[in-house]
Amino acid sequence: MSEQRGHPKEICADMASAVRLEWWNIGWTLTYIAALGLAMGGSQAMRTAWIEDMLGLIPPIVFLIAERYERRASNARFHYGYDRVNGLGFLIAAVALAAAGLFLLKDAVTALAAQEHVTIGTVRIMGQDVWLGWFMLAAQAYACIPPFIIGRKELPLATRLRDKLLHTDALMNKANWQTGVAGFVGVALLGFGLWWADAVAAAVISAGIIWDGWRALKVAIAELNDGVPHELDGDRRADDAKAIAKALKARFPGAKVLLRETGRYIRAEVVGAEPPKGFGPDDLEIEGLDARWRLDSVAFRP
Amino acid sequence: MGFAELRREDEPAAHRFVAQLEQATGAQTTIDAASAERQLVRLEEGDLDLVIGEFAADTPWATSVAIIEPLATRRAGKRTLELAPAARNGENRWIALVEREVRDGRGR
Repeated sequence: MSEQRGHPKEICADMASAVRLEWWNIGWTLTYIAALGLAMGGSQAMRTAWIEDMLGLIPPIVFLIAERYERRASNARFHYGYDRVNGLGFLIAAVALAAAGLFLLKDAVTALAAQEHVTIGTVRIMGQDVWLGWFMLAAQAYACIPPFIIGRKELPLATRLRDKLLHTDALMNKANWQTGVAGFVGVALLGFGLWWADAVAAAVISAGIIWDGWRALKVAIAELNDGVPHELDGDRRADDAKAIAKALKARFPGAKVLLRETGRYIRAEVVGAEPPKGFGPDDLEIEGLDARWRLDSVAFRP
Repeated sequence: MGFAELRREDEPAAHRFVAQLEQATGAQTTIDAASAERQLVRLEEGDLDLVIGEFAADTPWATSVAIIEPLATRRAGKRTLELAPAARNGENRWIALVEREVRDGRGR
């Protein structure tokens, strides 16, 4: 929370789970980056998947850094604490996601335009020539599993924590396993002589990743520009924000209620009303707001 | 098939390899010799099935054509030159066959 050290007690357990999950995420990602790096050979589709997997390291690293900052109390330089580091991390993750999609699209279009025919040779193991494609397929299959599982575990945590950075990481993991499937199909079809199949699959998947990246970027920019709080998955106004606005309007009829988001928290300002004596955000009855901890402060501008 | 500016002492090894490929595939080959650049361009265009020549390990052609394992290597200054067959990119079945013959030829 803004001025105090640590996280609100309601989210401490979930934050600890998210931190643990992100360490696992980094560990597993490094293993499949190594596996793909060893197996990729001359395959363009696999090289693209490899670079995308490396971009996939950005959101968990940024999350871990942001979480450390967010725990800090306010100080002489940062009077409101470090809540917004999460928002800043969200912007970085959104850029990484959009960049991964654009990178994938560019490579796919270039491969199609240049009619690149990928060479996959053989290696001799114990007197037998083995097609390197088998190693690539095994590495690609392995590279799909950790992001699929970790991404699914991140989604409910991101929802409970109202954490857009964690949500974007879940999208990045979705992008990674989908690219892995495209790479797998691409290498398999290459074995049947269809040189264009992996590029077409990659182009189709890149469109979805770019769309997710673009939506995340819009929300991240809105948050850093003091926009009204948004839902995790798009540009819809957050239900929590609607509940807070409704409660404040009911308590201070005739006043204007302004809301903004600082990281996972919401700050409200009531314009045109005097603050009641001894009023604190906890005194306010807010129907429909489960995550009560989200309302950080209510300021008044009479 | 094409030979790319082969040294006189490399020609027997190149001819032996072509004969080995003929035996493995049952195909009749015709060979012509020209500059490396010209032969590699023809290979890329699909006019040749295979080019045998001396290539540096870091040749810029390495991404445009598939340079297969070497028949022989030698040092030339700071570089290693490899006498190797090169095939058209993406001709994976053909490349696998040529790789097999290179490896089998080493044991002979």
